[in-house]
Amino acid sequence: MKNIRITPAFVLLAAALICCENGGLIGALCAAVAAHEGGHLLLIRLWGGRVEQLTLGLGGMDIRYTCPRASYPKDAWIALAGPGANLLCCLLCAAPAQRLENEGLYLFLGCSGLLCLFNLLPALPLDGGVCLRALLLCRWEMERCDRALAVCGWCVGMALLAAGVLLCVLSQGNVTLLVCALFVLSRAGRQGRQRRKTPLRLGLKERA
Amino acid sequence: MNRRTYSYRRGPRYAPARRRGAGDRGIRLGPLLLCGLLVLAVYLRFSPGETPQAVRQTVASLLEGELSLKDAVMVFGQQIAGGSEEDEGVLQVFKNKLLGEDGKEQAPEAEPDVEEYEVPASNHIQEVSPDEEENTQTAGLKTGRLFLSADGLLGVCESPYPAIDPNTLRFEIQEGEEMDDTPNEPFTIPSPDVVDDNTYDLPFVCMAPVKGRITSPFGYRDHPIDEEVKFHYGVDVALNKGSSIACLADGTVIDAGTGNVYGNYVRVDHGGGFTSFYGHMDSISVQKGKTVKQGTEIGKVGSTGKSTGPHLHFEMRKDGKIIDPTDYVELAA
Repeated sequence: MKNIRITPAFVLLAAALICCENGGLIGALCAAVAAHEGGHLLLIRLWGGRVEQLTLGLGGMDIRYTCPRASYPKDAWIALAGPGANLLCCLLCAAPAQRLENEGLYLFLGCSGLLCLFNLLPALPLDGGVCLRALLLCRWEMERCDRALAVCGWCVGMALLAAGVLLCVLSQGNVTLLVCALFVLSRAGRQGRQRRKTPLRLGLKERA
Repeated sequence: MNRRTYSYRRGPRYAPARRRGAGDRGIRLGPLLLCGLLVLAVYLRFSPGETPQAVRQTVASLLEGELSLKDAVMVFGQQIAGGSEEDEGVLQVFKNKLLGEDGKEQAPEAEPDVEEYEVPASNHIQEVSPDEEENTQTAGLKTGRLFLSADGLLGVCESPYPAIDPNTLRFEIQEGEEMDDTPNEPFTIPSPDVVDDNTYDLPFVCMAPVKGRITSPFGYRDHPIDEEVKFHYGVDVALNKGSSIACLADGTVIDAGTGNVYGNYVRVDHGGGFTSFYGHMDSISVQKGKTVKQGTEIGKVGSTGKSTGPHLHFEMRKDGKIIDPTDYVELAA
């Protein structure tokens, strides 16, 4: 592993969460996120890959890796490993949570479930979008894939934006879903701008 | 097949190396500010005082608004675990909790029944009972409590002291202060108008709803706070929280709900003008309109409403007037 980067946005979010008095929820969320990212890292290591960089940002952890004999299906599985880890946590912890009736376990289950569902949305940079892109690249050329993903990203982003506005109004101030929506939309917009550049200028290598 | 392979990453695979300039030596302001922000956040989180609390609430309101995100996530987790008693689907329950809509009709608060309030005796007399016992700490009420309801009526105060038998009361007249030759015979304090002193033959078989220690019996008693003689319209029986409360006799549940005074309560109609009332319950086991049998569990002993300890407040009425339950059932263990 080369380095770990922490973005200012992540620090700001961490500071805001520390300020909140919802300690139980923050702890459960951190555990669920750790399980999620651990799923990605585990599968990368199982396939002999190497993590080059970890970036902690507003949307979670961004993992840059290299994998021998890399293929699009492998990338899709690595992307799905995160939500899969959350789903596995839900399955493993459901019975103990029901038996013990522990508040922390319920919170962890809830956070894992939400993280799994949210990350499966077909929009970059979410895992669902990464998986979809990898699967589309198995059949289509890159330009067409990026166009399709941009459309998906915009649709999901607009749906999240509508839901975020509704939640903000009904809850009188909650902006978390709005922030998620803006994050997805900004990524969709950035992807649209990158499509107009050639792959070589980005440093991407297309292997024949 | 000429198959393209591409190792997908969320950015350039080979990012150009950043050249360190002369300005990179020394302390970098950005990380320092971010560390300072984290330290400030920790200080605000654990520091007492109005300003840190105001900042915490402001941040919390930005992240949560008026909704209970923690409750919603926990209910979602309970639904996943399968331990929740909610009948609706996962997402519907989550949505209800997130928006503060529990989806259940909130039982309207029972209008305070004026008849249930203690009416001060019309003759305020400081009596000294010859059988006055030392007041002991009793379950159900640690201290006498007075409160004013929204209507300004004096609320029920359940005194921990034993009832005074009016038949044994006498004036304490000092020697030389006799007014006339009238013998100092015991007199009876009339019961409030809502009380029926008669004893009736019940047209049904009945049983004691609970058996325990009677902490406040039926009748007049010397109030410890306002030093007035007040009437207690029911019987308080102290029991462990969660103890089962049986129905007095066969009947129909005519009222079940939650009120300010008696907390979770149930009223059962047994026919012939007789009704029974169970108050301060921890939970209600029956529904309004349900037909119940003698011995059917009405609810669990609790301490809801204006009460400081787990006990059952049990009342009986005949044609709307309150009667003494101990004339019909034995509640003492």
